[in-house]
Amino acid sequence: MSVRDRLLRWPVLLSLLVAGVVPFFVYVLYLDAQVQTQFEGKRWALPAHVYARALELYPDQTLTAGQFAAELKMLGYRELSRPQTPGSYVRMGNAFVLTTRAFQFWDGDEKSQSLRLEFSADKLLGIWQANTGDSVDLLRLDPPLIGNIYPSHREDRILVQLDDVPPLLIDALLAVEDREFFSHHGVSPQSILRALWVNLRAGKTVQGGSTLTQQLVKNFFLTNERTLWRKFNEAIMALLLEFHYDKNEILEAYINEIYLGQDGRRAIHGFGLASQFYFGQPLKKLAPEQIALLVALVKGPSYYDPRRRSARALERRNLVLHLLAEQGRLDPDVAQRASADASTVLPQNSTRVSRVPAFIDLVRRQLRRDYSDTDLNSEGLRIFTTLDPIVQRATEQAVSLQLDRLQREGVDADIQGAAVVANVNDGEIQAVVGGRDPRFAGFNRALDAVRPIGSLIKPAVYLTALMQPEQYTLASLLDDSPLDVDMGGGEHWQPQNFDHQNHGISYAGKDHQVLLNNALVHSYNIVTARLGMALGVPTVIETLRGLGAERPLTEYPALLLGAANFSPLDVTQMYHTLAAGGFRTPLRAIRAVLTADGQPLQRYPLSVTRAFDNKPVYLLNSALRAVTREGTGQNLQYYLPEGMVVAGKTGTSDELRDSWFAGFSESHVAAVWLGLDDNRPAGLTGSRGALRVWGNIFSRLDTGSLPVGDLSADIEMVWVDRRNGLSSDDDCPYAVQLPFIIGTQPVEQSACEFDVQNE
Amino acid sequence: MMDTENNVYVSRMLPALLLLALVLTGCAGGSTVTGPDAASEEMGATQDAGRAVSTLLAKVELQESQAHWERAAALLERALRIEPRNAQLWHRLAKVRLQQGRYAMAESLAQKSNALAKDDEALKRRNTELIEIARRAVGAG
Repeated sequence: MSVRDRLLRWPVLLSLLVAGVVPFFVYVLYLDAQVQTQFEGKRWALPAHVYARALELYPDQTLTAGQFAAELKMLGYRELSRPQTPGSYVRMGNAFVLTTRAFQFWDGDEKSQSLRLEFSADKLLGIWQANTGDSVDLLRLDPPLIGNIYPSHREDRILVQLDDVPPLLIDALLAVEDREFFSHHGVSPQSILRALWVNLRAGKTVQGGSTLTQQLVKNFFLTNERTLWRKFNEAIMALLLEFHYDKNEILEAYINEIYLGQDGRRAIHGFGLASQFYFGQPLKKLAPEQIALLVALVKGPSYYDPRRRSARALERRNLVLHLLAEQGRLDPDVAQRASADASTVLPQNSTRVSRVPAFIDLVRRQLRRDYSDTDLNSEGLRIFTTLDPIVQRATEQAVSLQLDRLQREGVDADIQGAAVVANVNDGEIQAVVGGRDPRFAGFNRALDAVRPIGSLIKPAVYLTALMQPEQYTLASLLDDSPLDVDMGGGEHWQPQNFDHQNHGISYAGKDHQVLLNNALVHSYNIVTARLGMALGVPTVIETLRGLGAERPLTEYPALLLGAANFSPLDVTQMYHTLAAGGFRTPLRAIRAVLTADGQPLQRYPLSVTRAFDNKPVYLLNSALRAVTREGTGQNLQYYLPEGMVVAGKTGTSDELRDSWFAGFSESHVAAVWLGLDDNRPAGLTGSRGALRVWGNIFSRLDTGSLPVGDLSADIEMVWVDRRNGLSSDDDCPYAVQLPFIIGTQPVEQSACEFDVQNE
Repeated sequence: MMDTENNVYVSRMLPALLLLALVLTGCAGGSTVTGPDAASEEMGATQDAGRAVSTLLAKVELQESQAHWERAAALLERALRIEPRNAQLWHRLAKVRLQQGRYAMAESLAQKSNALAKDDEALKRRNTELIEIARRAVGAG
């Protein structure tokens, strides 16, 4: 070959070189960006901590020693004979000595204090400084942590730091998965060769040659693809990771990232969560055999699933223990004993990081509405919520107990339920139960069971009427005779009463005359439909909007009888406006958000809007009180303490598909829904189903009875003849006392004859 | 509903003028501008409240004196959780919102206070005055 020929060839070689190397570099840069994004994203995904309300403590407060002890337990206070370290206590009957933890709140810091508390049967009697004996007027405990939110990924995780990882776990990981971890550069040719040799000899894949770094990369881009190209990419990215980060950072990421099991649709990533998932304990507390089992799972969480393949899992666990002993990382005697342990894991997972998934779900949605994902993701926010664990527990217990009872009485075994409880005074949501199993983080019926509310809608119709006091009072006579509405196009709407009767008496030449008050108390459909048509469906919708209804509504007559879909949370909002006397307050689940270092970020203040004049609301609420005394809700008396006054309404949708009850005491408002997820008829009226749950919740709450006879200056009580709504003497056998806005009471006196046809 | 410390930007002079009006009508409170009548009325509010709420009201005053309105509001909400039907506290919160120029909210809170005021005529009068000021401010704004 001549010199000239060689020279001619150079550009060809050069261009070949350029054509190969440059794209390769570009490709490597591309991989580098990808792997770094993944690593940083995972590494800095600090969760937002979610707290329940902090328990306020002050003398004379209604709080039992038992409830206080439960709070301390939830906060993880330790019982010590000399409780001098923050977060410890000792109980002596109804007295406690404790040292509180310091905590940073939105409105200031709470310092750690040593205190003595004394309780009577139902009250906190007093609080004193343990050292000086000075009495204390008010303090807050630290708030219970109820969950963590990882907004960027759907799955929850329990992140651990390398310092908190048991050394044995790291030893075991290295011994089993990657002996040269601290000496290789991301890829270990030695390991690959050894694996190849072992596998060739065995005739099957026994050992993998992937380093921990390669496994981590593989976890970032979860696919089960096993092509050479994939392996090649993984190797490049492993080298890149090692170039950017040190060994400890990579190890920590590995421990938090590696896939270790499956819980339905939810992937279990990281040893922290896996420790909870399999053993119900934090990683730090695991015994050697438990650590070995987790390490055994790395190879194949499904193949070695300790719940379904326990023999296989135990065999591999013992191999891990054997390897540890062989390499001198575990005392052989300990390894021996650990290998003999046949107990493996909890039968059911206990990873519900949150014990109140339905409430956390609500918090997450409120946050999503107000923050971008990245804000939430990077900050490690501290979120202070309105959840009251005492109310939550009562609600959960009531739902479970009553649904179990209904099932024993023959109701479909798939019966489901949901409940929301809020504080009447400030609209704080204190409890959310999204289903029969309150720990299950699945379908959240409290927010997502959007169902026809049936007669729960009626108060909106009657409030619309009572807002026209010249036209309507509680004593107005309404018509319950058969109704036929021509819907056009040959269609007719003929609403029926629940009992298929027409109620009321003949009076002044008209049949089926019913007092407005009684029509609501007994939930008559025809009267309500006729009244609503007279008022106008759009006007009733306006009232619903005033109450806080936000969902789209169809403007047709059937709406008047509850052909409108709402969730239990929506219903709670609407009844809250009634409970608060016509003042609308958007229900809140969050009080405030602080940054990770305690800087106030956002507050969700109490907001009040006057939606209705308080006088018609007073009249309506009086009728809703009567519902629970003598109307469709009268069975409440079997569930509530004697003498307790509440107001509420039952609701039942077509063919008994949905059973509702919504109502309030002086301090709490709640809505309960029961039904079947697939919308088959549950066979329950509101009264037979949801009412029982509601009654049971309120019997467990420390809640104020509604004040009776607490009249404002604009209202007066008048005796009327309940047959014709005319003014009557109080000794008339048909006399009933009803409230009237002053100036609207009936003028005409009833003769109170006894021969009028009875109801 | 979200809220930050100074999210309503009305004319800066307006709240000051309104406060002056409050003082002149004898219903101002807080520590920033306090007329003699107002001081005694605030005392009344404190005396009616339990010890826990009195403790909080002292903190409210401290925050108000530094014009930390949102912190004052947070403390008042805390007090309302302890004594939800204390009409004085609702009035106090209404005044904080007035200070912040949140007139519609101030008006609603004063109405809420009125609904709970029973026969406390002095409080009702102060609520009515506050409502008038809030309405005038909205008209002027």
